[in-house]
Amino acid sequence: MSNPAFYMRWPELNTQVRCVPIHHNRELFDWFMENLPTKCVQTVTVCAGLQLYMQNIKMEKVECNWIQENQPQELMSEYPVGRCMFFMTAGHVANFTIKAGYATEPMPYPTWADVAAEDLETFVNVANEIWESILQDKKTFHVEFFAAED
Amino acid sequence: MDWKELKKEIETIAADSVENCPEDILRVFEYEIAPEGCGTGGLMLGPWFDGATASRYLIPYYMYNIVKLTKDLDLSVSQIRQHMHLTMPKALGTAERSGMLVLADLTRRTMACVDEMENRDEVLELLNALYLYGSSINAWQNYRVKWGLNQAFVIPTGRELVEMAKRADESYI
Amino acid sequence: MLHFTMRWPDLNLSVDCESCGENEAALRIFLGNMPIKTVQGHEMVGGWMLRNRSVVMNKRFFDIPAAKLTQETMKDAPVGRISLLFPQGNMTEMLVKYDACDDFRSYVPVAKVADRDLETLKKVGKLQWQSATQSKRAIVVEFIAESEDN
Repeated sequence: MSNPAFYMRWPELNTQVRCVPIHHNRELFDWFMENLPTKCVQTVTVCAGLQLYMQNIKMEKVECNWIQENQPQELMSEYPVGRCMFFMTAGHVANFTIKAGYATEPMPYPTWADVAAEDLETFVNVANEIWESILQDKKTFHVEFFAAED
Repeated sequence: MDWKELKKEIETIAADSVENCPEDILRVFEYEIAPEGCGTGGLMLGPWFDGATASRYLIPYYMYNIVKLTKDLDLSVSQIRQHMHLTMPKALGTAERSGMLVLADLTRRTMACVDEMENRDEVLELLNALYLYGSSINAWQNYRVKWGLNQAFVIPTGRELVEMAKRADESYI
Repeated sequence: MLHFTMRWPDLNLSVDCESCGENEAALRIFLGNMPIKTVQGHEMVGGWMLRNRSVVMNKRFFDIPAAKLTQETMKDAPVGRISLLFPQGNMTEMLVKYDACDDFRSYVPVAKVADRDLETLKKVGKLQWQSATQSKRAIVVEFIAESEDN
């Protein structure tokens, strides 16, 4: 696949965005792609800033073959909106967040993908809607990940 | 205990907990049902706050570190066992007291199973199943915790009252 | 018999405490760190227990391995029991049972409040509960070794 990408789709919102690799950690992106399709519960972070939060993603096919501390990292407070980072990922379970607004946490994480520029507005709208839900009506959201066809 | 049977049981519950809110979360965070004697003075904030924190330590922190260290430092089965017994029991006790009964039961049985296992790959398969289920508990707690303080005191809807009343006999409060 | 006093200057109350016969080596380390002053808290899950979350032991580090300490559940402990939680290095938590609790988690018993002071202990417990759940008035506790008190 020459231009690898994956889609994140929120079935309850009937909305999706495309995600693409960034300048580093391409092997993490490829590892994630190898495990698609997958899905999990969609929440948002409540301490570090506004981010979509995925905590129970099953990586069924290929177990985690990298160590967070050995990978290039970026500061959450500084990297751009739409960027994905992994944390506490091991074995067959992945955790990751995508920055959706301000984030004040000055911690480095291995970043590995971006929401495509043309989908950023949609992505931020989704994050805001889920933030409202987690604070108020507690509607449940899921997110599905699947590879984009070339 | 047959580790394969336990792994299958956990994976079935874990798969369901991606789609549906797990029983522990429904009972404690939605219906406010706590084990007898839990929640000093009948306050639910204790089980919510300490239960969620302990559950997060139990699996997404401790189990994550065990699985990660096994990969990074090539821990032996006996080291995995030692790590498990040094880190997990206190968080397990608090999670259990706070009503995370399914999580606690699966964790206790997993630890007992690992105590009798010798094959490192099989141990990791079992631990990974629990790691995924515990991560789901974490995700749902993150969703169901009453972050907006008004939610802690909101008057339930008629439908919610009916659902809560159906299970009222489970609660000592 | 090893002795010490717990004193709450804000409440003008104090209780005498003595060894419970278990883990005397741990109690000696605790005594060796007195006088100690910390914020008085309350257990929020396990029942009617005072709880001190940060008891600092800077003079003599706690170096007894967990495996060498006996443990007891607070459910089975008598009213007045003083137990440690996570004693390690320069820090421990401490719990004092002052009324019924169903807590089946295990702690490290080191001392007990003297029988003659159990009513005072209960009074302190109820006042701290009011502080934790209503007034938020901070209450400090001091631990004073018998010899320093005289």
